[in-house]
Amino acid sequence: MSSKKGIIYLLIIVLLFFLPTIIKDSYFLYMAILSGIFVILALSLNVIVGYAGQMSFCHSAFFGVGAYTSALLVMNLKFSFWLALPLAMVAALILAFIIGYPSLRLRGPYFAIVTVGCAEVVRSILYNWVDLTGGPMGLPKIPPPDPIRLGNLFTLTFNTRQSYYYLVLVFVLLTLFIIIKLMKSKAGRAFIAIREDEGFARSIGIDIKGYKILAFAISAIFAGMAGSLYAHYILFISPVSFTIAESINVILMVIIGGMGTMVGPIFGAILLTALPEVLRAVADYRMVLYGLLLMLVMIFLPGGLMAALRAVASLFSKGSGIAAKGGSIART
Amino acid sequence: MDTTFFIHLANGLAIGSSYVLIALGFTLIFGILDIIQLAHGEIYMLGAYCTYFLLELTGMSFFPALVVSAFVLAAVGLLLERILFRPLRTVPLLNLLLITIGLSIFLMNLANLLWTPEQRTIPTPYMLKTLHFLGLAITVQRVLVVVVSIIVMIAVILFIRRSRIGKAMRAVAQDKEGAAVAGININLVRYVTLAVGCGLASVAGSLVGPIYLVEPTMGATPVYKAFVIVILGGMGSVGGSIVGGLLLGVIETLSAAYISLALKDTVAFILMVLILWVRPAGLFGKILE
Amino acid sequence: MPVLEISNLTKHFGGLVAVNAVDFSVNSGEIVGVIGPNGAGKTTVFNLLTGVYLPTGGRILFGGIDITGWKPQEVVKKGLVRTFQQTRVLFSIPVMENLLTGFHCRTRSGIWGAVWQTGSKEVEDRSCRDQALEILNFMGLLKYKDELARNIPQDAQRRLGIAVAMATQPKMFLLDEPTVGMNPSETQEMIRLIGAIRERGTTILLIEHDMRVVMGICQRIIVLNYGLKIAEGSPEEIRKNPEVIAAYLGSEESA
Repeated sequence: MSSKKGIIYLLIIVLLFFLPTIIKDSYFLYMAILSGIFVILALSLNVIVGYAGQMSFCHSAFFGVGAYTSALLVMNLKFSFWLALPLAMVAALILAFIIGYPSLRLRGPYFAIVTVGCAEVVRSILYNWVDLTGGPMGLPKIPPPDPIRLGNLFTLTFNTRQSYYYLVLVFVLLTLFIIIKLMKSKAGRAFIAIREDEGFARSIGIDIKGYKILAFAISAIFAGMAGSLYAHYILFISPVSFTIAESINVILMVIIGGMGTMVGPIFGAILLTALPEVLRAVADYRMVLYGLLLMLVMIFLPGGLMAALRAVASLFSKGSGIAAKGGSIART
Repeated sequence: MDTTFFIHLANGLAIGSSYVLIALGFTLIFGILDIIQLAHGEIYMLGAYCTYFLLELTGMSFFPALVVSAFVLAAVGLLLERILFRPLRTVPLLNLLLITIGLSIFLMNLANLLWTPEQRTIPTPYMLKTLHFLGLAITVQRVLVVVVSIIVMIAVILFIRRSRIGKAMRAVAQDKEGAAVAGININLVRYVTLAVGCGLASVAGSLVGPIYLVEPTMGATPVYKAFVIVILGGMGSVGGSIVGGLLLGVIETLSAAYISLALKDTVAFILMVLILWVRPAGLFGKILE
Repeated sequence: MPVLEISNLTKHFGGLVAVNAVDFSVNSGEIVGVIGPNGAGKTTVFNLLTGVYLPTGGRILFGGIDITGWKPQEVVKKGLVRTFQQTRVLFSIPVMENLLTGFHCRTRSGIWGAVWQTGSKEVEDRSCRDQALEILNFMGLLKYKDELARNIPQDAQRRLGIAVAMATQPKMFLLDEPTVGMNPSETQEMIRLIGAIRERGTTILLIEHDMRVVMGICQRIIVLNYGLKIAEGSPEEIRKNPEVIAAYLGSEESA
């Protein structure tokens, strides 16, 4: 990574840390936290969809299982949030193996279709197992994360928007860091090879099924994490937030942002979280415009925003040799 | 077995018949145009609304309204082909899928905006009359669904098998390039496919409208079920769609009645997952390679 | 001991017998050619050797070990790798990345190493990079190292496919029609390259239609027709073999 890029990223991270002190609007913070949670969802979905090239519609199932596991462990078994969150990730991982093992030997479109079925079955379980999950009524009064005490030095509490913002920010950066490292490793290369040409990947010794399961598992773990963060922020969860429509929402974030890139899903997540809010101004027309916008973006910007940015950047670089490197920031 | 079983069976066949019509249109569009038309459920919904408004506003009776709606939605299909699917025919499958998802969201919410979420019923005299048959009382509408569906299915099958365009459609489904080289008018085939597909969806919506309620989201689950049926029956298999649709309708209704109401919509998905895990070719289809 | 020993190798596809009780072996350091009319079963044999197809009958011994029925990734790990007739590489990533992907089965560091950047992973990474550069240089692709694979010339893409296969550190190469679609000078270059690969110690089994190539570099030739082995011998012997000539003429007549 060039030092110019490195400095820009560092600046962005510093800015993000100071954001709550600059913009004190509470609603803005709420949107930022929500965006952060969806950034984690989009980054993780990108691993299986963007890098490994396998379309999956069951991300909502991992999100939901993570949310419910975390909430139930804290509420019913009095676990600490700090234990519930990793356990939520484990629960999502287990689900990924249950779904992935029999499904990932199927070819692309069939795998995608199975994930549709699995997502709906999971949602149905969440909806109908009323004794455990509260059914359609959901789980209200989920406690926020319990405070971290460091002896007598200080106590970190997480029941304010500001503090939760930092919590989510830390997890977003952690997710980003881990996923970047993974994608740069031999696993990441294997995923790309599988995406580009499965037969070719097989011919150079890549265990196709094993790596597909790995990509699927990685995507699930972080979705579970996002679920836990979501549950202990919104403090209420119900099956209606974990439908196939939600999966499609995250898929759109990845694709519109630019799949297979690292920055694309981040853009996409922030955009698609903010967009319905922005469109709230046009209230009644909101979802109509949303559908229309989706169609227009998919038709005219099929490579997503990242590809569009790159196209714009290359316009500049054609103009002057000095700006020739301008596209590299977008190429992340 | 008591009579309620047969009533459930009858209901299952009725809903299954409507599923067959939706699935037929869906599989034609997929098999011939390679488009997974996820807005197909909204065509179904629009067909129901069209029939409703024809009945309400013009005093037409049920059958004429059903036929007119079918033509209206067929025209919508032609429009969709002209302004959306034909210009985008080289776009990859995944992108098309998401475009149809966008279309689905657009149409569903447009309906919501124009006609409010208020649930309507399509008033027909057939809902009030019952048929007494072998000691059972079945609403005539349900019988109508099955009968009309069968008639339409036979008509479509004859059309595809016997007519010139039908043969052209089958040729395109098997081998697009070959068909083009053989001089088949691909554009015409595409138009006809979309018109027939949308017409079928409209008929399904109109038939079911009087039994269940007409509202903007009514197409959301049927399209996934059409998907499931096409998988169950094997991609592109007309016979498979028919058997799959009826089977699904019956299994769904019986599961809801005897196991748990909760299962009604989920059964389709459970079946689909199990079949794909065990026999990816579906019940009838060939393993697509 | 031969590097590769096939006995009675058979493959049925439903009623069709694509490969019919084929026996042959390849010794270390040889370049052996497999020829035959179209549809003779040559590529099917390659697919059987690499584990893409499961044999209906017969045995494959590689380095003395029975690899019949092994999964493709296991076969590659053992040291047997194939290339494809069509140019097949990872087009949307740079040439260097293609090479590094080829080292997949030879690297040991796992996920843990990826995230925590352990010392051994760094050493391994550097070693892979060095070897990749060496292979690129050997194949004449060094100048393309940072280019996207889709942007380099066609014959360079071909060589890239072979280069990536070389990164798996094979003991034996299965080359599937390496010169198809090449002009004479490109073909000459490929012949030279194949010889050079053999010099590095890799045994080669090659499918070819271009007789100049086959007669030029192969020490032994195996001829297949309709799934059966109809001849085996030196280029001279094969050139004069009446059955071979009949097989090719026959296929020309029906063509």
